[in-house]
Amino acid sequence: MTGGVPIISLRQVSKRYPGGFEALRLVSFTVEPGEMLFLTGHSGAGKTTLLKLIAAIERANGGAVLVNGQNLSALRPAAIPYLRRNLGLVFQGQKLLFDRSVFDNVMLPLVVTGQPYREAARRARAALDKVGLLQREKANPVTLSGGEQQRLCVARAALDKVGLLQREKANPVTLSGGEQQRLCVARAVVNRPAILLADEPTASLDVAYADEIMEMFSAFNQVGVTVLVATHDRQLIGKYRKRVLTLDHGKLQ
Amino acid sequence: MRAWLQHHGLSLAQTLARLARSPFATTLNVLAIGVALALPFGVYCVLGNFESLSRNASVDPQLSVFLARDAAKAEIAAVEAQLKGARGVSAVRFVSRDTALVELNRVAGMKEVITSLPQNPLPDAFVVTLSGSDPALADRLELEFKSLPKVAHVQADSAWVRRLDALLRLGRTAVSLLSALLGLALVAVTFNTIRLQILTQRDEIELCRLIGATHAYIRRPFFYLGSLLGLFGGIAALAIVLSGLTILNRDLADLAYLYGSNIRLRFPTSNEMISALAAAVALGWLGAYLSVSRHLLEADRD
Repeated sequence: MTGGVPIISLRQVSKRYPGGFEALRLVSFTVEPGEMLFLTGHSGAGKTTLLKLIAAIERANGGAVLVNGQNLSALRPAAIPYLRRNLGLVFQGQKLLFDRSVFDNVMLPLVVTGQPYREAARRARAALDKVGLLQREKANPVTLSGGEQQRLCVARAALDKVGLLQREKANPVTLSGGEQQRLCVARAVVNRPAILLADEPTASLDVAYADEIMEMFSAFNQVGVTVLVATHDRQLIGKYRKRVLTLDHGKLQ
Repeated sequence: MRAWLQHHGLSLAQTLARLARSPFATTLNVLAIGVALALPFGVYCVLGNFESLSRNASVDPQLSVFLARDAAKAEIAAVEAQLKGARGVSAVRFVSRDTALVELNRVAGMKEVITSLPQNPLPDAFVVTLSGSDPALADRLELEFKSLPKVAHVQADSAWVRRLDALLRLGRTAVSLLSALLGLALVAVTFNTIRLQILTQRDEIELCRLIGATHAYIRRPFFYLGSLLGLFGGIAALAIVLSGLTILNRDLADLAYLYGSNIRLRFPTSNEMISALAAAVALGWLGAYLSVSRHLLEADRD
């Protein structure tokens, strides 16, 4: 992990909210391209603030935040949308739109960035398929087969069933908690971002669902996506041998 | 480029769908805008009628120039030359005292009066037709002709035209004020409508911003919403004005019949209607622009 240009770099970053609360104090670290790491700490330690600084949702009061070599404090407001298109965000509290279908939720990042409809629809389906496909490894219902062709058909149908593809016309309200979170992941990766930021993606999920989500992140990381996961779930972190950044009252340990 | 057009089409379709989803609120909004626009537009149309009346009446404003009775032939010719040479005069007609007497004789009841007179009491006169309907021109020429030798009296026939003109100017100012005021009302109505819509879509807007939507992207559907509200309001206003004029014309036809004339209120031309619609769309757009910009500014601040 040496020699590469860091994809994320924080230098002496501080963030103080109006009212005087100091969320981050002189935080410095770098993330190499293709790295996966965890950000942990007690609640209120500054995990969410840190992710918000990287996504230019908040601005640092001091220090420099560099993403893809761009200094975010020098970024014009008009350039921020284009920065965010390189980021996949899984938000705390999901932010799904319940007035439209699962499919349209996944389509949104593509529509927002002005992709032609047909291409967008194809990629949205692929992303939905992917979040289902990763889960399939455990479900694995494909057993019956005749010829090659037929098997392919059955497999496709089965993949659709275990994933969300089949539920593309459903309203997100009808999805279970785990499925909703998978939907958030699908929405975050549909744009093929270089960096995936996830804020407490496994909160309020049981262990099986949490593992499932983490497996997906791990799989994305394996294809080269830089993944930064904020979580207070130490057990979950323990299952992966990845770098861990620990925040304590706004200071990096 | 195609994606961009596609997105515009999608925005427009979504906006229309959104309007159709709450038909009651949409109808009320459109009506409010329609009534606000119908008032100045209706007054403008009615004023337009008087304006054409004043224009027609003042096509040939005339001055009657009466000569002194002791004016000799040569002097009369000199005055005629002066009148013809003056700037702003299009025609000069000489009415001799004898001609005038013959004309007066034709008026019922005047014959006895005239025959009882020892001699013709009428002066020679010129009827001067002016080339423009500008009241200032009539004033200037009236003064100029008065000072000519052997001119006893100059009478302007355009006094009532000037009064009408002054009234119309007042009316036009009133229409401008009314338009400005109600245009402001239209902007306020769309501003608030859009603000409500923004509040109901707050989550969606916030999410879109987080996943890389530009301000232009977020503004677009609201621009459509404001413009459509303006357009529908403008159509409502036109419907109100046109049906109002139709009703007025029916009553006016009875009145005109009684007076043996054929007065009708003129309908607005298609150009005027298109301008009114364009103004409504522009004002709706402006309301949306102010509303969304305000929201984005607030969202940027926190």
